[in-house]
Amino acid sequence: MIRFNNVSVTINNKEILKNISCTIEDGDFIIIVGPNGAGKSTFFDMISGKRLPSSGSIFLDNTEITHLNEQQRAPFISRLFQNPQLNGISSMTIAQNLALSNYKNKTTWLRDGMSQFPHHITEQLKKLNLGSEKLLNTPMKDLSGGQRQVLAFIMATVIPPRLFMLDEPTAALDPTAATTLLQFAIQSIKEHKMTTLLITHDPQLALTIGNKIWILENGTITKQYNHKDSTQLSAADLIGHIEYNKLTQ
Amino acid sequence: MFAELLIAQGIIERGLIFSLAVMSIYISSRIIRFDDLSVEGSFGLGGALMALLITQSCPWWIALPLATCSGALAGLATGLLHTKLKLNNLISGIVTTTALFSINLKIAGSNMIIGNKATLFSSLPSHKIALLIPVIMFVLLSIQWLLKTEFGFLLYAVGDNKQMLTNLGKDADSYTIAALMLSNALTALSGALFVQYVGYFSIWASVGILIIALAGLILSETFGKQFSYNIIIGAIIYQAIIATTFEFNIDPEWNKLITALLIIIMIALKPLTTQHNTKVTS
Repeated sequence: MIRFNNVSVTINNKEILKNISCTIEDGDFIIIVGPNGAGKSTFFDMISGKRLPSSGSIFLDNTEITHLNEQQRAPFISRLFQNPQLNGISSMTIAQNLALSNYKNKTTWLRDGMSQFPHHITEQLKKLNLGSEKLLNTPMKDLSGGQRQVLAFIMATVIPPRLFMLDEPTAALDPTAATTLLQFAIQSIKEHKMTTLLITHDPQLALTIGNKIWILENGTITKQYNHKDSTQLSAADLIGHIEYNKLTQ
Repeated sequence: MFAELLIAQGIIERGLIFSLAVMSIYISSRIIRFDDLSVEGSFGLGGALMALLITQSCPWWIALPLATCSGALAGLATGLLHTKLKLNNLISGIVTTTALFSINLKIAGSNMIIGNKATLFSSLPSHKIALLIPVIMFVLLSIQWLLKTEFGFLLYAVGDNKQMLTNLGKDADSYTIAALMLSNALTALSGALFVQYVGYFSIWASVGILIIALAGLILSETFGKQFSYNIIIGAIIYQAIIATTFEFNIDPEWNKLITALLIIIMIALKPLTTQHNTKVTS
């Protein structure tokens, strides 16, 4: 359980997050929606420790983690970025990237770099047709955006985190690649009962997956719906819709 | 014929010595992608300390590791300036190099002749190549090995995506500093070997080392992007080009200009040698 008590974040004298109080329960799959500039990414930055709160406190179970930085929170938080470039090492091969992702929470020194290759995920790789010897030795940069995000997902969850955050992971993908990634991700999240936060701009997606929907506006969580409420909701209720009639005037 | 062989031997020997500086630049600019100008100072530092210790009758086999470590300290200084005081790459390196110019002068003056004191090369003065090859091979193979370890993987990660290190709970700054220490230690070793090779220290010998190393690196990349023997070949080819200019009786004072032109030409031909495209071997 992660609890936020009146957390605010100020960047360049501007309050981006305002008095956020909420609780992420274990096993939650929370979809976060909100307009551009609402502070969604800052909310993730605050949780991951990239941005420390200017006031308020954060608790993991009963331990205060308010002042832990990103590196110190890494052992229990994993994050998938919108930008595929941030989710792996382009110059290294897929196999090397996978080995690297398994260094998390471990002391690393002068053992063979490949010694930590996570053999337990070979089944997952096969499912994605990434498991062949030849592909494993392909540099990460030769993968398509979609393949890269799926691989990044596997890397981020090689060691299942206490909290997993996905920041519009499909924003740079075409619909087919997005479907593949989401299918794979949702299945894996459910299977491992991973506590997950997902930012999306796609209201339909928000209504389809997850057990809670939080709406973030003007730096604060304005509405929290659980799954039961969401069956009553329409996409437009969440973040409005494109007003097509205005386009033809 | 004998004269030509001697010239070729000299080219290879100098190439071997400067290949250490090329390895240094490879680590900083190709692996951690940090354009480090402090190598200019650490080459002189390694040389100055080596010259001072040898003339004070310190055995060369103690002086050589000490001179190498002094380079690591220079790298530490650059790394701390960059990571703690947030100076940018170039400024951190320039500050260190500038400071080292004074320090090197204080250590060994503008010139210091080793004279007949024992050096690495004393046992085989006319076959220095036979002593250099094992030293350079040892360093090359050690770093090749290091780059394949977990530590090496994380160094590649620092250059490519620092966020990844943070995600893994590792401190990217520590790895940046470690790489700069390693890279500057190599340049200092290069400087220390050079002083023993030519028999004296000169404060001016370190001027332009960065560009010599960069020329060697760009030349080496025409043979491959890996951290491997191509680095030594690149360094030797560079020395061969400079030696050729002597054959044409070109005043050595033009050397640096020729080097600069060489780099410009190589970069202009860049489509043949795409840069920043290192790949980890395993």
